[in-house]
Amino acid sequence: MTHRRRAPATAQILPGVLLLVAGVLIAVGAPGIWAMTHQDPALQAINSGVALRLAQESNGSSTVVPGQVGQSTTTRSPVPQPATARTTPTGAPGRSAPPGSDVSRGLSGVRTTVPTAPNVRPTSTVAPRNLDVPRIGSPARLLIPAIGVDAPVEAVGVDDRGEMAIPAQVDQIGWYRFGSAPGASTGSVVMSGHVDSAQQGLGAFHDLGGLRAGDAIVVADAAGRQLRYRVIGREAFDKATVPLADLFSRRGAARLTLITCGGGFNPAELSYLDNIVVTAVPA
Amino acid sequence: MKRLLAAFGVAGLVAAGALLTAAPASAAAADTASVSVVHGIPNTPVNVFVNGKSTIADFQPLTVAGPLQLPPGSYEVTVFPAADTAGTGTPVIKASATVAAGDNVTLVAHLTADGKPTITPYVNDVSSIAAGQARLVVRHDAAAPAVDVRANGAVAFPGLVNPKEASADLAAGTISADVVLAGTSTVAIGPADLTLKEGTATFVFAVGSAADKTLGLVVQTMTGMDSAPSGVPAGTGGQSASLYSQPGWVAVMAGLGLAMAAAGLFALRSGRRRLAGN
Repeated sequence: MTHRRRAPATAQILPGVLLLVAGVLIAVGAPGIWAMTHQDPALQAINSGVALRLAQESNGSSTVVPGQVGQSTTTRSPVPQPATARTTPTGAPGRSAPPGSDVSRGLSGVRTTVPTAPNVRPTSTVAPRNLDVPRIGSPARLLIPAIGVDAPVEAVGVDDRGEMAIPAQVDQIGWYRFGSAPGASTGSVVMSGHVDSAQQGLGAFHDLGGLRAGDAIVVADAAGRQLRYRVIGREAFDKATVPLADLFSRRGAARLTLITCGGGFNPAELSYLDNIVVTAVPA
Repeated sequence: MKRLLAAFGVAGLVAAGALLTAAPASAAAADTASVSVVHGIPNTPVNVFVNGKSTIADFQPLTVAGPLQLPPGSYEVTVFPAADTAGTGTPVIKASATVAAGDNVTLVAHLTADGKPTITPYVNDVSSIAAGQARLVVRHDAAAPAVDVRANGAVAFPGLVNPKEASADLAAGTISADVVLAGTSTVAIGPADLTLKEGTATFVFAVGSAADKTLGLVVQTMTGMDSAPSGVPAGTGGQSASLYSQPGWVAVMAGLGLAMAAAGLFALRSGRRRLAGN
């Protein structure tokens, strides 16, 4: 025991100090690294709640009472006549009583329309469009210079589970054709693309979460006509609670909604836990 | 959504009273009733009076008027020949209807199966429609026997009789529809192309008279019943998964670190004790 008594004190405490320091480093560092990865821009909201606010924004031309908006009528004359013998209301029957209007006026105050115009194709009676939003054809290409996206766009609907259909190719973008079209005065133009695929690797929207407020997005149709948008919001939603009704709403302010996946990954179901949503408005 | 319909004759007139019950939930916010009127009696332009006031003047056959937004209440609807603009003569049809706030109703002036003028009220199903689908509602309002309604050649609604309706939500798109005598392939009406837009309801009224060869279709569409898809499955690879979202490793590492620190502390204390002990 004599040699130990003579040993320097530092040698006695060195293993303990090393253990303590390493332990503290790991105990602090692990959550620290976690916190840093938590800074993953995709999961940090920019302008939180903007998607919902725009969906509920009233632009004076939308009514959400089902079956009472945009009603149009068509009549078809007796059989021998060709299908061109259609008539459509001369006025706008769907807007006879806007929300909040004085309905107590009774029948005398209710607008009625008797369809009389012949040989007119049926028209849907949505409110007049804003002329400051140019119309283009169906979107054919999406360009997002900030994250190097220049991808073809195809019109998609729903799959057999009722979810939005996503193009089979990871480098393509799907435009939800049942929703608003680019240039429409109201509603959400929804485009979705893969963040990645088990078979094909990274997708066109892999870096969607890196977009920042003010970044430019360009939607072009097949003829090359372009509409420009600018990013105003970026949010991550748990898929269990993602507000799809608002993100896909055909009402509310005109906007472009880009959706992909992110957050944690469930390898058993090959599915991400979150949706990353970027909201942009006409520039 | 149940409908109580009582029809009774009054002095040679056909009178129909309709009691329309509680509003569908989706329209509960509305404080008016939405009422459309379909004119399904061929060759008879009319004037429609509601509670004694001229409401639809020179209403042409095979057309749709409205929807009117009416305050809840009971309404008396009288239909006069178009020539009777003052509504002082003998009405063609007289009916009363009670509507509640939020109701969405279509009143159809049409012929019964045996050719008498009548009014039938229908409650319109404007509940939301699944993404990608459209609603098709067919109503037999013609002086004709039972029919089958076919879509793209296949029977979609069999054995429909005046004044019944049938309904289905189908994939949105264009279908070729026709009406055949029930159980046969004898075409009575059509075929006609119907464009069923996603999230909309298309109401097809078969009207007119088989005996008079005036059978035809009246079509009314209603929009705004669309709903969002149930999800956006946009990734299957997992290459982009965030570490943060698997916090298991964080807990393990933090625990390990704490254990090491505790061991270090223990070693220090025992080391010091040993030093101090000498």
